[in-house]
Amino acid sequence: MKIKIFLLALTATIILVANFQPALAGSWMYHYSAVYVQATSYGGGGKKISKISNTQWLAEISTITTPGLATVPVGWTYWTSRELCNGSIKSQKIHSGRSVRTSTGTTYNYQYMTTQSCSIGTRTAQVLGKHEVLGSKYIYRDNWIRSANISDVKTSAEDLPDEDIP
Amino acid sequence: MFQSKKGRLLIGLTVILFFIAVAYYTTARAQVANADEVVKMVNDWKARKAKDLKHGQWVHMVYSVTSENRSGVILPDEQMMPSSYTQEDWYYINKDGLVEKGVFSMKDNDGNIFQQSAYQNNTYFNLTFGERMVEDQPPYPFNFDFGVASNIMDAKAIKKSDEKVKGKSRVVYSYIETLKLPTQLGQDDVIVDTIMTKDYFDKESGDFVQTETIWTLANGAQIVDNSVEIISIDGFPDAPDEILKVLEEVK
Repeated sequence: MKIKIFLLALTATIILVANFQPALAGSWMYHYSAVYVQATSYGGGGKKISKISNTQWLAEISTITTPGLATVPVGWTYWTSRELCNGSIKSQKIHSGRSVRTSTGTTYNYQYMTTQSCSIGTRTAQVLGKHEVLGSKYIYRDNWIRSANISDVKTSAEDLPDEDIP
Repeated sequence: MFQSKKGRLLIGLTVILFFIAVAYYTTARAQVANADEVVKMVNDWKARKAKDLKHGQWVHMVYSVTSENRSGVILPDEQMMPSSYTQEDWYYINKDGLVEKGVFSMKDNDGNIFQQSAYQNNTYFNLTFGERMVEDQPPYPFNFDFGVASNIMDAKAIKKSDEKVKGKSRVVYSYIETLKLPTQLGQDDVIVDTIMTKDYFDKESGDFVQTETIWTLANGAQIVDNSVEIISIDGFPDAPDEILKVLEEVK
């Protein structure tokens, strides 16, 4: 019986080790409304940048109500994922606006991006977007940039300070 | 103990998995050996180049970028940024060997600058879009290999081949990244199955000359996403006046 358990554990370990690839996920950063948008729910927007591999990174965006309200339209007026090298914009994907009611009171979108040529210096991934929560008490709109340094291929995306767009 | 069918099955499964694991790691070791060969070539090339690049001086680096994909970048004149262009960079290397300031220009085929940015006092400023990067970017190492040496360490199954490119003999190292899921990429949201990276070295001199990434789509078609060809890397005691003027705008 002990040998069986040992063999099972060994099998599981081999399968896990053979298939494991380190995740280089970044972290979600959320901004919230200062007041309730409807009933006792706040509105908010989140953005995230993750490195997938040396050739790819992932841009993610979400707009939420918390606690979730199915009756409130949530979304964004626009969102964009782009990559910069030494401050110059090398590639960009612009996405259209969205305003939807969902059962969870949240909405989400993502875009895979391929890394661009950058001889030396800083490779920066960015997610831009203006979140919108159309509450009956308050309409929350927030336009800000999430940035991460993706220069170092050996580490995950290094989050940089958020930047508000007037 | 293992006379039951289940027991024998378990042993059989374990043995198979063991051989799979052995094969996996044996292959992985072979890849590392190949990666080391590429890293050595890159480092040897950098060492040869470094003789002409002195601390406390400027480095002028020019390379061409070509792509079959659209960049998606809309310039202030509302034109789409060209996806093929020449990149012309000036880097000031301080006495510690770190990049302390620089001016980076993207030029079209006629030599016109369509995007320009500069770096000084830990700040990047994009002069074309008027965007200032609020991040605190301290001086960074002058590592001019486009990340080739780092990236190849993660590569699996590196292949070495000889190719003729524009009549010149090249040694090419290539490796393929298979995407875990069908992934939509680019402006047209094409479904990409694999991304191949190819690093080119001149066969005679051993110099690193080109790197490119090629997508293989779900329908089998191939697209060159990015091809970079080094044109020149030279050291200068001073940068031209127009470059110094651009730097002043960063402050």
